[in-house]
Amino acid sequence: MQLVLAAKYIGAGISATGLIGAGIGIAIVFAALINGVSRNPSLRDTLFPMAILGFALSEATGLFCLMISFMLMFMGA
Amino acid sequence: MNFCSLTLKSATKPLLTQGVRYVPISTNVRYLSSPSTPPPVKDPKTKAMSIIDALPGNSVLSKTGILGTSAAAAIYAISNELYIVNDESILLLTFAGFTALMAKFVAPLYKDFANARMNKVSNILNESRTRHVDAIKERIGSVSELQNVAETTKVLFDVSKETLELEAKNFELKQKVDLAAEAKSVLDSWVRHEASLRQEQQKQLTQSLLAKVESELSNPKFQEKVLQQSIADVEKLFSKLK
Amino acid sequence: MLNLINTFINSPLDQFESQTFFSIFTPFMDMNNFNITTFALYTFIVLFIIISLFMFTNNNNMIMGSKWFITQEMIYDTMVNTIKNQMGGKLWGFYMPFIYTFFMFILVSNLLSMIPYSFALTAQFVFIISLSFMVWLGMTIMGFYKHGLVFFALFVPQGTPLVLVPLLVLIEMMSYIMRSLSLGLRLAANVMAGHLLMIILGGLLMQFMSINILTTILGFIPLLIILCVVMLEFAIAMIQSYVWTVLMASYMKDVQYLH
Repeated sequence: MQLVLAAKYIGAGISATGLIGAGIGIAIVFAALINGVSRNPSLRDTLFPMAILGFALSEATGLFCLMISFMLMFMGA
Repeated sequence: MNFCSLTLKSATKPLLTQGVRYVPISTNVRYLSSPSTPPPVKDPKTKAMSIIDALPGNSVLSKTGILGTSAAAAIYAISNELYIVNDESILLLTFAGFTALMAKFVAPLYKDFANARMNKVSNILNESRTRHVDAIKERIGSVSELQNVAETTKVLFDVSKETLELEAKNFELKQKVDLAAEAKSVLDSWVRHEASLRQEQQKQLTQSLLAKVESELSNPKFQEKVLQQSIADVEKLFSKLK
Repeated sequence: MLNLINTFINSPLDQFESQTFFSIFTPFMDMNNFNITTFALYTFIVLFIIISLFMFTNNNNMIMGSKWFITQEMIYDTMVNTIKNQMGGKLWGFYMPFIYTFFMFILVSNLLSMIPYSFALTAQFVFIISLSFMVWLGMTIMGFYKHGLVFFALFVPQGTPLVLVPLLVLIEMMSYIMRSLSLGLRLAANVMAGHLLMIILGGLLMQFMSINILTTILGFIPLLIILCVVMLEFAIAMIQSYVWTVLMASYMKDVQYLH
């Protein structure tokens, strides 16, 4: 049964690599924000809430992956 | 930095005339920057006293009492496992640090922002109230100019009554004058008519007379008579002249 | 924190456990759902906080609120602008209190969970996912009630060639059904992952600091890193509630106006 425990930990570690996508996605969103603001500084009105929304949405997909990692680590038999 | 103001040659010219290229340091307030005059160095004794002053309690005795009891309570809680120092106590430390940071930096900013907004709103309300009061005062002033309306209307009514009477009289007199003028014109026309009649009569008279004379003239007896008379006259004249 | 029940935290997931304080004794029927658990207790605390944010901050209902009341005004203005921009049209005013309620609830419960030794209401997966599923189901039923079978026009974007329509409808319908789960899962996963991260980091730092006195003093540098993570968690707590409301307004717009 130690194998199952070891497999759980290994699986949890491997499934955490999905957060690469989250990191890249957030970087793309904020790169677009900086680009847009440098071209046309209408920041506080329209661009910033959309950037926050994009950050949260892309972080969410990364965290779906992290959920699987937590499920493997802490739950189940 | 404009160093040419330090040379001797330009020391004769005042600084203001050196041109617009020398822009003085702006006097705007730079937000969140350190003051230009350095703050006075705090006495180390006051710094140490400030730590003691930050403790709760009023006098030295109460401060030591509070410190002692809190230390004893902490030791009792930890040793009897009422309070376990575990992972969450780290989070307690970080949360305390976070609230300290917020209270130090964010709270004054928010207080300024909230005060500014409250002042703006109360200014708008007070200003609108004073403007309304002024508008009402103005209206009162403009209306109070009409305060003797009743008397004015009575006077106007009397004046209008008088005017009416005068107008009636005027009309009457005018009618009389018109009547007189008309009568005069009628009489004038009659006179003219009479005059023209007389003229006609005279003309007819003369015409008839002329006609009679002409007829008499064309009468040969009369012509003879006239001729003989005229010859007699001419002879008389010739005899006078001779 | 007060170890009255003599439990120790073993796994980092223990902070999300729901303990019963008062239970109803019903021998004839299973009415265990009326127990006073930590979940019920914290829901009452959230309700109390929201009510006191409104009742105790306006100074006697004057036009000029106090400085605390300005936060409520700011939240209200943000919500009105967000919903008006997202939904637009004639019907945005009907659904504004609904979406505002969700915003206040999730914001207050997220911020409440940041206090140490507190309980994260929005990290309860069953609660949040069932909430989002009910919201999605209600919106779908409303869409069918309002538009009839024309509701399926939502799945065909404008200007697609007729050949692609069957495939596109299937994909769009899948995406639409996934909205029910993803809306709640996003919030719950974010909050839970954040809290887990904080606890795990705290546990690691605790182990590091309890070796000897040198590491205790040296351990104040990772403490600053954990402070940054805590600040990020505060930001995420507020952002997630905002994202929930924006997405709910967007879904409501899809259902009401059929894009």
